[in-house]
Amino acid sequence: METVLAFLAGLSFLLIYAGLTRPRVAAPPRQAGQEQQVHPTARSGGRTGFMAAVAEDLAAWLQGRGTGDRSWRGGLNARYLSLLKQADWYWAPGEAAPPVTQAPFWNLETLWTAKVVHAVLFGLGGLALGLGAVVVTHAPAPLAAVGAVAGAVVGFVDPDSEVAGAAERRRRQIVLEMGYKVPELRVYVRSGRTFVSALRYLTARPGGPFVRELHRGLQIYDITADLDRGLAAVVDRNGRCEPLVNLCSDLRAALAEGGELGPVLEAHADTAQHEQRRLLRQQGQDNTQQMSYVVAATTLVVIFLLIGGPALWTVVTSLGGM
Amino acid sequence: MGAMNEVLIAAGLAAAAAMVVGILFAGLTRRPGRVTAVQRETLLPGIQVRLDRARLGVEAGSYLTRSLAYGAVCGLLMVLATGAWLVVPAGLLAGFVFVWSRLESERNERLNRYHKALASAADTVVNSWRVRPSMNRALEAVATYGQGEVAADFEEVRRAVRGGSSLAAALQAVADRRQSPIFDALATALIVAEETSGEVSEVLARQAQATREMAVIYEETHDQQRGQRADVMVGIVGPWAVMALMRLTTAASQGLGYGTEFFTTLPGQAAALAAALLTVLAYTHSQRTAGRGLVVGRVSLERGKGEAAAGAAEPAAG
Repeated sequence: METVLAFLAGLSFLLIYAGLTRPRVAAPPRQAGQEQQVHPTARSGGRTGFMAAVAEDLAAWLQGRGTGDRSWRGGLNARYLSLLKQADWYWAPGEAAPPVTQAPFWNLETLWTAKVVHAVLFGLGGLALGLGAVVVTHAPAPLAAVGAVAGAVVGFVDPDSEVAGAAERRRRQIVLEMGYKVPELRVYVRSGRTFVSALRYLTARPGGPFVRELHRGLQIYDITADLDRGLAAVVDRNGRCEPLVNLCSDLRAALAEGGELGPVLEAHADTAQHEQRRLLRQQGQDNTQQMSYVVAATTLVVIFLLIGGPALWTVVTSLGGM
Repeated sequence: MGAMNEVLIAAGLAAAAAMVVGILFAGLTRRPGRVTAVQRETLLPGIQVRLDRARLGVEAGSYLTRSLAYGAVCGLLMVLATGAWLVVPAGLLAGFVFVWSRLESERNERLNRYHKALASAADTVVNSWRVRPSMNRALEAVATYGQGEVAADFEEVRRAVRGGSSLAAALQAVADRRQSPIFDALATALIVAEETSGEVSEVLARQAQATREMAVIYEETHDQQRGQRADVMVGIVGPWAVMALMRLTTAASQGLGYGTEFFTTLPGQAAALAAALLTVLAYTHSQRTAGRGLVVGRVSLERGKGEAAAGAAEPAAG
């Protein structure tokens, strides 16, 4: 009980200290005829307390606002948005494509909802386990709250790791596929055909996530008749996949400047194969590492059960006989 | 004794509470799944569908027979190593996993050989095209001088083209069956060469070089995967081999193998079963992990839609 009280006292001290010493954001001078950009913490004449600012930040996060904000506040939502798009889970009203049914959440609003729901449910699970542990060990009852808090924290960050994992898996798949498909694009364009017809040819056949992204770019081109916008959309959705961003940026530059796309694809075909090989090596090492952990742990348990078990049994039965 | 009962009741209550929370969580977050209950009469076709999807090239009946045979041997070895009969089901399960893994390795080896033959076929096409730019002649050259399945595939394409089918359609039929991105890339080069009126030898030569490079990358990946699978086998089989050796040694010297007494009791049987199940789980996990992220997953697109629109006039680019 004393420990919990000490923890709460420490937390209160920290909040008071932060409220008193946290620097206020200076409001820029208002210009005539211009709407002033109000910073969340600078509202009410800059006298807003620390807790109110925190509440406002939290509300902004939960509502999915501030993705354009480059500060740490907007940065979090911008990161989530980028991960959702990279994982191909992103969907919002007004999107041309239907939402991905396998995705557990589609946008910032549903992501934050999932975080809160997971936190509550994991917290309940932690509380149940904590209560069980308290009953078994006769520990002080407030310690069960530690289990609840730990569970809630784990639940709160669980969707983050879920979306980050999905984004990384898809990024790797794109890099892997580019090693096969960029040379195909090169052949098509080098033979004298247009880039758009090469895209049509490639996207008319089954493919992986790279082909899907090209298909998305082509759909935008079909609506707007602007290839640059299509490629920009691909870049926007795959900001974390460097080889794809570089390819699309170089293609956009060549289209805008009126250069030839053949040499661009030529260079990127070699790069894509290099990246593919590098990724496969890296993936192989990751796989080996993951396998080693599991097999090493299992081997230890199996050795204990098979070899240690009989020895332990002999000791226990001989002690019982004494 | 009273304290022990209290502990057991508390543990039971905690487990029940955790289960309720778990069910609540699953109910709220899980998406509705498909009906997965397998009818008796659809068991074999169901297995066949899975085998075909993985392109393992074996009949369901043959897979079951092989798995049961390997499983029986595996279970028997586990019984010999411990003396516990309860490990037999785990051994049978291990047989299914082991045979599936072996079939996957055989498939990868076949694909590796196919891709290397494909690289040679690309070189043959380039040479033939340089002498005389005729697709029929190039296909014939590969069908004649190509290796194994590649030669058969190109012969099939040649026959289909002679029968009136378009080259793109004939190649697509093979591509659908093979599902190899390396074949897809080569097929694109061949279609481009067929449809282009100008000089495409250089384009074909570059594609042949890229095909060889892709085949090398595939082989490296395949070797890496095989090495990883072999490495973990030491950790998986090791404890059982050590146990068997200890039992044999002690049986020879003392007449009763090490652990025989323990493994004939109920806790001993349970320990042996747990060890066997853990071994099978570790083996399954390692086999799955070895191939993770090394193959491009295909997603279905609105197939054919792009081709239909391809006829429309395009602005010049590149």
